[in-house]
Amino acid sequence: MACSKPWRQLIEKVIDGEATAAERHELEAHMKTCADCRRHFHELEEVISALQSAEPAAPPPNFTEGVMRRIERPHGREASPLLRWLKRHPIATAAAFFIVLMTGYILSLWEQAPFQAVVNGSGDIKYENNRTVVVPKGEVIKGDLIVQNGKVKIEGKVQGNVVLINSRHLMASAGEVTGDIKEINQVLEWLWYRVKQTFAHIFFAVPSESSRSLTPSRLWMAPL
Amino acid sequence: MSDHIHHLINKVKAGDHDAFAKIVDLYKGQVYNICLRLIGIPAEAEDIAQESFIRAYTNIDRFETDKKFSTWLFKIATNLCIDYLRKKKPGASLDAELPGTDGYNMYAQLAASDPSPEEQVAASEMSDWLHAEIRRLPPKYRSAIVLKYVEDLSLKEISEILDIPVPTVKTRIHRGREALRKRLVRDRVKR
Repeated sequence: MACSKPWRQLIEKVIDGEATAAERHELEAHMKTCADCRRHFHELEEVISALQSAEPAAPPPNFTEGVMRRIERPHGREASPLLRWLKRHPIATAAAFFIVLMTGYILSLWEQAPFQAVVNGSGDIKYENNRTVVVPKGEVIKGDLIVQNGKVKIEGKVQGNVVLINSRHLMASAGEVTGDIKEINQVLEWLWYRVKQTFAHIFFAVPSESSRSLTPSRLWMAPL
Repeated sequence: MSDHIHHLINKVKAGDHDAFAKIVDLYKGQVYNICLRLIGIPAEAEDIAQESFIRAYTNIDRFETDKKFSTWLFKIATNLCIDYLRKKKPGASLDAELPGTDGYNMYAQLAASDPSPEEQVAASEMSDWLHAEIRRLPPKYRSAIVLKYVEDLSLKEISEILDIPVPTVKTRIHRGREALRKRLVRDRVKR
């Protein structure tokens, strides 16, 4: 009949070499009287010593040559170092690919951007030759004026900001701008401006006419 | 030893094939024995042991030099063997754990009552008998027993190789050797 579970656990502990000296003595004392535990202990010892005494098998001859032959084979059609690097760094590859495409896209937007004047608010503007936008005398623009790839002449008033993207400001007369005049003549500046605008519209959307830039209240496109 | 290995690994990373041949020579015995004890068929064991080295070679860049190379290599070999055993025994398996029993499966049920094939009983040498019995253990006990007693690895190394916590390693070793002990007793009674 099997002995109690705590004794069996102590046997495991002693065999694993994790028992204290006191525990070992306790088990030895117990095994003097308990034939069942004694037999269990010796059987386990026997299994373990048989396991440990097993002679390791020698690996087959030419094992190393076999491995090296199998390694050489794929290396015959070895890819170029660049290709291998790309394969090994898929995320970097994807990021680089993305950046290249994005840069091309942004640059093309910048290069191809047409002459365009937008009023985010109310007020009328007029056009002159040579891609020039005029805020006529006596006209008051309540809101922002954004001009891209052109020139602007302010003779009236702008109660807001004037943003000049790749554009020039011809301060011909006593025009008045209550907000800032921002000139953006670099791709990066322009990009930053676009990012800021996008965020402003997404997160701080004011439910007023002047904020609806995706459907601007007034949009004039001059024929080029 | 570990400095020597790391030196060789750096050479391999730099594209030195001969350095890898030296690494194979150093570890082929242990890797082959792990595979042989886990799989039991010499030809298959050789194939998987070679495959282990090839995987190590192609993934050498992923080996982190602050770790122990042998642990990493044995992990590759053990995983390949376990995959092989899984593929060989498709469908319902005695290895499947019974729900809610923490590692108890149908093998444990069989161990006490199922008569073993006669050829195993007739095996003349204890070690032949034992290795045949190891192969009849469920793979998860088999891998723990082989790494612990045949390869003489520490519990911590085994836990890293098998990706299981140390207490689980212990449990598997205990269950595995208890199953072997029961079979030893049973076969003795028959003889």
